[in-house]
Amino acid sequence: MTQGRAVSNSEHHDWRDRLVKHPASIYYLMLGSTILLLLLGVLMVWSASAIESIRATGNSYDIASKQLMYAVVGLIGLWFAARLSAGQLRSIAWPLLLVTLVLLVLVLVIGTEVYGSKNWISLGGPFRLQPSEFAKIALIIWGAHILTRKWRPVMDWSLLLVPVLPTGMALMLLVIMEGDFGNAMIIGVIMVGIFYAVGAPLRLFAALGAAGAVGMIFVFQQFEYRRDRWLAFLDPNPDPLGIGYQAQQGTYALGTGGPFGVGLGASREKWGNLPAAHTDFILPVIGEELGLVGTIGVLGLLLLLIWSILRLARETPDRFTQLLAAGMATWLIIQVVTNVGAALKMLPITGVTLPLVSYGGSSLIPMLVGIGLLLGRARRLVPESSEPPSVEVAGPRQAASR
Amino acid sequence: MSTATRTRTPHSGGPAPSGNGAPPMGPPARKPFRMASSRRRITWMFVVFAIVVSLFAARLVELQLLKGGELAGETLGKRLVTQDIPAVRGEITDINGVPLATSIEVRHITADQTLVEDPQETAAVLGPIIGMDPAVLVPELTGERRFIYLKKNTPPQIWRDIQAWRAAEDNDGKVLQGIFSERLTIRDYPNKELGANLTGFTNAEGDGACCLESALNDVLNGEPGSVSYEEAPGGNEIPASDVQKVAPRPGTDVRLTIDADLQAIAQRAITKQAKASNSDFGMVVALHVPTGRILAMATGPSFDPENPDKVEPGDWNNKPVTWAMEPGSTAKLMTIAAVLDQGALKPKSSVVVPGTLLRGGKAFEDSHAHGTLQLTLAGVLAQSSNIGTILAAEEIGGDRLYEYLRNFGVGSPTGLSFPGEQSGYLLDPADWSETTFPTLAFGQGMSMTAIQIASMVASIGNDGVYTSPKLIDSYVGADGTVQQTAPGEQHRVLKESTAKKMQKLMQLVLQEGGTAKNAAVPGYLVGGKTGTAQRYDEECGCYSGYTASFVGMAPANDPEIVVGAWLDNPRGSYYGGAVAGPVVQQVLTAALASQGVPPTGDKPFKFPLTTDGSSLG
Repeated sequence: MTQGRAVSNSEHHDWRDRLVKHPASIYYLMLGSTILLLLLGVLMVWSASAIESIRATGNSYDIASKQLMYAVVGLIGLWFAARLSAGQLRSIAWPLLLVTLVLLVLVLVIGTEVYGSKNWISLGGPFRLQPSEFAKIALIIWGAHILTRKWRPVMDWSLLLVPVLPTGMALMLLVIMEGDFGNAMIIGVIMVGIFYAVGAPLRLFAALGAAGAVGMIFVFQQFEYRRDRWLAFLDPNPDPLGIGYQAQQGTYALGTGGPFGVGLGASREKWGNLPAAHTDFILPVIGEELGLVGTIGVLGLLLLLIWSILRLARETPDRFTQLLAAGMATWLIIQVVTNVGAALKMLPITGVTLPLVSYGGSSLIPMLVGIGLLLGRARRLVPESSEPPSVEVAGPRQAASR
Repeated sequence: MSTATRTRTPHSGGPAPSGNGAPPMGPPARKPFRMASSRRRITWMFVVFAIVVSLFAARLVELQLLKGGELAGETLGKRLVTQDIPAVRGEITDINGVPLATSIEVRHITADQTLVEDPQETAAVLGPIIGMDPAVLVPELTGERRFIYLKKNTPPQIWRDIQAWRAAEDNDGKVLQGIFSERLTIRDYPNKELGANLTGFTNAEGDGACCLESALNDVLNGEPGSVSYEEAPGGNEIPASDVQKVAPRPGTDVRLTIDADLQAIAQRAITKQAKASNSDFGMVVALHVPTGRILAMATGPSFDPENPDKVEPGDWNNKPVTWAMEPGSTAKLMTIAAVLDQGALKPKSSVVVPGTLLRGGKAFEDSHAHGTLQLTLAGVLAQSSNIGTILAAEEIGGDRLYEYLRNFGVGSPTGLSFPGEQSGYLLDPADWSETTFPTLAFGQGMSMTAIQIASMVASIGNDGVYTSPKLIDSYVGADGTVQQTAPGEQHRVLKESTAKKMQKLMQLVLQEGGTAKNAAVPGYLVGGKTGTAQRYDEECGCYSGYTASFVGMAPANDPEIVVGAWLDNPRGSYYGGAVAGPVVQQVLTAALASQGVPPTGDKPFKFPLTTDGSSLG
């Protein structure tokens, strides 16, 4: 009996080793979950936007075909990003940051205002650029590069925080000046995530948390409607036409879906009751059409993607890869948490999209490029890879600090 | 940098980071610290995220499984819209299915002004479709009103055209947004005035407001159904939603005994004659003798049931049923028949008729002054002598006469149950004065409706068997099932031999020496009786003017059809034979043809009207 058990145990471990423990598994899990989320996203954007599209343009594929185009562009970006070596990537970290800063300043001057936020640069025709979205990926690459270079087993504050903290705060400030508080918060959280992953003392986060709280109180005092919007999710019986309406409709959609959903395409809420059905509130539409099975499936895929990214961060011998993956994971985590939390009426509505699933090229393309960078790193985890490990791990570069 | 600060660092967070919440910079930042393990931190990140995701999963289970039904019901209640589907009201048709009253589906085109984006553009598109000037439409489409009628009673095709325009690929569906429709059925009277006093009309709610429409309202009205569906903001039906539909139960059709063609002839003839004779109004009734079925029943002039307000409400009445009058000479048929039936006199019996007759202190006269006449009983009828009829009636007495009058239906409703039906008036013998009996004998002092008089004559034609008149042939359900109404109630009034004698004597009325020489129908033997009754005017409580009437039946030797015509208050010639005779002749001719009654030949029945061989003019 014991023998048989032992055999089965070892078989079990073999199976698990091959699927999960094998270094290549990270690459395939990351790629697989990304592609599945992307496909589901395009499908659900199509379903959720069909009515709005046909009302606006007479073509029910209007929004969906744009999303498909963004996905294709993003996948091309992903493919190119995956081919970059760590060295190449690090060499463009500074230029990338500088271009982002220029764009963020530029958007304040020539930007187009959409939904009260002046954060778009029109590129002519239907093409628009949202620099605040690119600021996230730029901050992750640049922050990972700088902190990798600066890292010592023992550090002091100025070595750790300069120049990443002031630069991150400058980015946040520029994005706030556009009126885009949601993205400013995400940029801040990404910066915190990178500092956390690099191993900064916990008291830094207490201080940053306090600063964030002070900043938020300041914002609330300046903009009362934002506070009302933020606190609306706590109201159990919101005014049906008021602030809490959207979240309420979200829960209605989820309730209507039940365990198995009303069927693909059959959502009632998307007929106009649920605002932003194909962007911020795509999860309720998934829940209505595909049921609990669909929503848990989406959450599971996102968990799998983030797990694989964080495994890359854990397993990699290369600190740059580690910080890059941790930054990307933070970005994904904060978007998932704020989006899903709002859709489930557990957190305030911030207008943050569900990564890889919601409609929108400006959020999708940088995200796919970022995942592409990680895929490039993950592929090099495989022992067969000919690429030598990064120099940083072998030993710190000669003291760069002055 | 002093040694003091340096030594404090390892033990505490240090004053600098917690000092003002701002990022620690400047001199205190120089204090070195060990960096934590990145791998452990990354593991923590995942653990915390996994916990948050499980909270989300728990919340999803709560919203979609535990509270799913409740939330779904709550939101369904907000989206669900229930609309009535009107039941189609039954038709009223003639005996051959020709519709006299029918229902057609129409739509009211409505607008929600708040949903109309561009009134100019919308009006430009909508105007030609619904047949309105766009310039008139623009103000109707502009404003904040959520509901306004643009055009009422449009044919269903108009709404289909609007939907087709919306659905067409080249068109911008937004242009007609905010345009809606109300579906309803309206009552249509395809033959306008034909049978209007029978059918009546409906009110704005679609319920009967007069006559058969109101009497049969519950039969004609079906039961409305309903449709429930989920509605998107803006009023569209969500196609994927479950539609609950309760089909309406359509109303039952009512088939009358009326023949529309004959009705048309009767109505036209009486309307024309009412005008020609300068009467207040005219009535005509055609009965099928063996069954009591009413083949035509007209009031003239009639009215347009689609615009009933153009005439006085009194003109809506189906007067042959709702108007009671003194029958006058036509009632002598009952008196003579009763005398014959009792065997008190025979047709050839002599009746000596003086110029005046004093009864109960009152002098009775005939319509034409004359000296003493030597008449037979047949002559009394043909000449319509009041005095002769009184003398004949005295052979059987008042109680007997009263019994016969009751049996002929005087003072009793006919059983038609027509709204506003009058049963007429007949004084109980206990209340009679000395002049009542002689007055009743020649048709005054009581009142009857036209349908009662026609039925009375028909019972003579039907060999002595009274048949209650019948207007409704059958009810035809929406599924086609036909429910025949019961045949008219019958009872014997006269012996068959008496009735046969009466049928012969009535032919004399149309012959030389009779009062209705101009009502003959070529090819048929016709019998009948004129009536020139004094007209009781309710306004003054006195007699004022006359009611001229003639009731004829054919073929006289085996009657199939009875037709009576009455003209109220003719100002000019007022003798029944002259005024009403031609109408009866016209309707009777048509009725005999439409009923397929074979000609009998019109060789007149000869009978002596006088006992002294003198001729009467």
